Amino acid sequence: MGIVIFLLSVSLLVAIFFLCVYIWGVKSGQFDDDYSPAHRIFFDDKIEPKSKNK
Amino acid sequence: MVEDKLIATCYHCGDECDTEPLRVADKSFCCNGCMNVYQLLHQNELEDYYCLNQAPGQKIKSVPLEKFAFLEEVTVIQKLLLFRNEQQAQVSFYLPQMYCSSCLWLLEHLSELDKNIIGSQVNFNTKTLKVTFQIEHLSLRALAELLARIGYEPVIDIYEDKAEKDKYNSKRAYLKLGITGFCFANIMLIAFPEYLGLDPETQPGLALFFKIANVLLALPVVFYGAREFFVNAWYSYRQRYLNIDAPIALAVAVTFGRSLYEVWSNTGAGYFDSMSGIVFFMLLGRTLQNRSYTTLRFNRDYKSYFPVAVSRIEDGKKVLIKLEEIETNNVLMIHHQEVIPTDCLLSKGNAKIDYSFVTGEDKAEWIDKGAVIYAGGRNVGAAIEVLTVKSFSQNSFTQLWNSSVFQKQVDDKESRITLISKYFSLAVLLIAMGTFIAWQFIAPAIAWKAATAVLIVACPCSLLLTSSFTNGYLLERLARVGCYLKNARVLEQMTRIQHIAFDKTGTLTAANASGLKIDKMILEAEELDAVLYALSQSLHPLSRAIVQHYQYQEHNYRTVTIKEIPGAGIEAWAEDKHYKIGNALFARGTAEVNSNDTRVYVTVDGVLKAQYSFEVALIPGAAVLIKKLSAEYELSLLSGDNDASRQYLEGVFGKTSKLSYNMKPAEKLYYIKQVQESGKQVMMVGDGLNDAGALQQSDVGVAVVKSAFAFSPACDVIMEAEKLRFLPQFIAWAKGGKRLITAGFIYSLLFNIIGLGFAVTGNLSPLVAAILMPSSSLGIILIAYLGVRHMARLNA
Repeated sequence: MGIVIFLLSVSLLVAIFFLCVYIWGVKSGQFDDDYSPAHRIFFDDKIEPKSKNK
Repeated sequence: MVEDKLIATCYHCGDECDTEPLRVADKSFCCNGCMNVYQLLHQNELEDYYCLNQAPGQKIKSVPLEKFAFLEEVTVIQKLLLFRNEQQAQVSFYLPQMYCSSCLWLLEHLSELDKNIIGSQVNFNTKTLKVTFQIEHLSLRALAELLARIGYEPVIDIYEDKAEKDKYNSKRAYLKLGITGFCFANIMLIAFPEYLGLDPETQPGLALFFKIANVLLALPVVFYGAREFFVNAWYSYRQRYLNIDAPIALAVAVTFGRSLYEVWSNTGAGYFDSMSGIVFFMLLGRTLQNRSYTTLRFNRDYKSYFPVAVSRIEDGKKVLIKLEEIETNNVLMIHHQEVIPTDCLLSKGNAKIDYSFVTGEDKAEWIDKGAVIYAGGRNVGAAIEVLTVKSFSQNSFTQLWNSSVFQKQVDDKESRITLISKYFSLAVLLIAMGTFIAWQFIAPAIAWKAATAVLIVACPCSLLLTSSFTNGYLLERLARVGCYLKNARVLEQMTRIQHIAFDKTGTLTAANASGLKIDKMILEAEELDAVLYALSQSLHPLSRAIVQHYQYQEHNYRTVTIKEIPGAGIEAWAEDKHYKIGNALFARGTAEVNSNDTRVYVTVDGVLKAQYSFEVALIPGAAVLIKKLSAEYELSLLSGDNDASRQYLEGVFGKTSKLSYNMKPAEKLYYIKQVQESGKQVMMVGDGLNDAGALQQSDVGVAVVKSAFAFSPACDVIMEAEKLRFLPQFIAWAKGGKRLITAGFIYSLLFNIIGLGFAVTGNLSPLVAAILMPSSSLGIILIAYLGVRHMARLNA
């Protein structure tokens, strides 16, 4: 039956790891804005540096 | 060519170009403002803005030159900057205009527009833009003006109460929810073997492990997750009333205590799973219900309407001062479009003052030099100089806000759920005591066990769950269709409404459309000019409407003798012609026969040459709305305007409604108060600052706005103007929500009764509790969700 204790401990540890990731995610503000990051990724970077009006 | 012109829409803002469109390359623009933005973006190679969405821009409103002058004042700059060192500074602006990915793109490419901007980042949910810039080279004012120039005029409110804004911290709620959910799920998982028949006698090691793990996992649930219930219960105890959190805190405490005891005395596994489940679901419901609209402001006060700072003239120099610093006998400079901050005398310039803020009447008044100008008026003419006669805090306008209604504090003492929970808790306590006493006679050993089981199983959690989930879903539904409620309590207030008061201008009628129709026009150009000149000298609202329609600019080209006869019309003599402008009896000599609209006739030497009619331009659906509401509610109309529309609106409102005209803001407030004193719950529907007092006094104040993020006075509900016609449905939804809560509550009562049966007989095992609890909670959530979905549908 020791294996049950071992497996449960491991599953608990994995769960705690994910909880920590979630806490980090909330604290670092990843849930604050659900619009801009999703759209920002579509914007093209400007490849050529601006030259005309400097 | 002609067709092309008809369908031309502005490349920048998408509005139809009604006059000759301005053209650059192959693009057309509705106004100079829009074209300038395009050219600016074009020059800086930012045309991608237009590729992401079609016509993403905002129609450019001209921003008064001095509007952002206050951003040069050191204290203001200090207050606004988030961060500053020698080279750079960071500021956060609230830009309610942003709405699409083009906005996002442009605002994050600000650095291309001005090389002094280092970077900018958008938070779309709060509609804020954080800009890092070189403050040595680009002043805060210039930055704000740049944003205004591309159509994103920042809304700056330096008086805003930061504490009020951060009251509800969503981050903390998410953390709490996550951690409680984690503990709940794992406790369930670990408790499972016990239900499947794990025998502690044969597996002592395993049983001990489970117990220790469960106790450890339950600790954060009780001391972190359920903390707010204990805190609220303590507050309610201190204020000597019973809120819903008190019995819940008691139930959680009893459950936790008993479970600890069981584990310690080795008599059972405890009820950790049921307890953490309940706490988790309750937190989930609360989070759903309290999710606030971070971008909406419900608590604005009068200060938001005034300029942040004004220019005072000291020894011939302009000095910017804050409003609080205004004293009597100061000389102030009031620019075009600025609001007069305090009562004063006009000392220089010709003033044209628009008091629509205060009175709701849509017309500007000419003020002579030396005359009094009251606070709250807006200078619509050229810049003027005024001499203050009162300090800012004592002016006639802000006095209204010092009245007690603006300090009212609402608590949840009378809320329905508090009331029910009171009786509910009382009943539970009585049953628990009865059980305890009864078992004392039968088998004293299990008396404690049975009594605590009663408290565990019959906690009013389900009551809280039904109301928070139903309200949460309902608030979200309402927000989706353009009706934003301040909080869940407003829903309850809405079900009690008996009387509805409406503002007129801006709420029921369009703000600026006078509803002028030209029925006949055979005046010569010269004659028309004379007529308009005569009308422009009159203050009568109908005269003004006609003058406005022709956009007549006054020029003294000849002598016109004018005589105004009040209540009849105007007589004028110009170049041997005799003009009569006025009502039928006056101009034509015959009285008007039955008409729904107001008419103005123009005769030249006795010949009818022009005829105008005015219809009251109700917003679409308003007449139907009023008719629908009048069947169920008492209605009244509170208008700051003159009673030109009385006859027409009496027809719309019906005989039983009371229409009041020429109401000052304080009179509106007083009117609401009077209705309330007759024992009625009043809803006030208004839009402007002149309704602010009434909105605050009423039980439900509804502010009608052009768009949800536009400026609105303090209120309980913010509603988009075109959604006003759905008001009866919104009230019906609130009432339906009340029924759903009752239904959910009855459903959960069934489970409570079954559970009580087990508890009273001393048979409540953790397994029974663990089955009853989730089935009751999930059932409630389903009833709330499906019920709201089914009920809250818009029928146009």
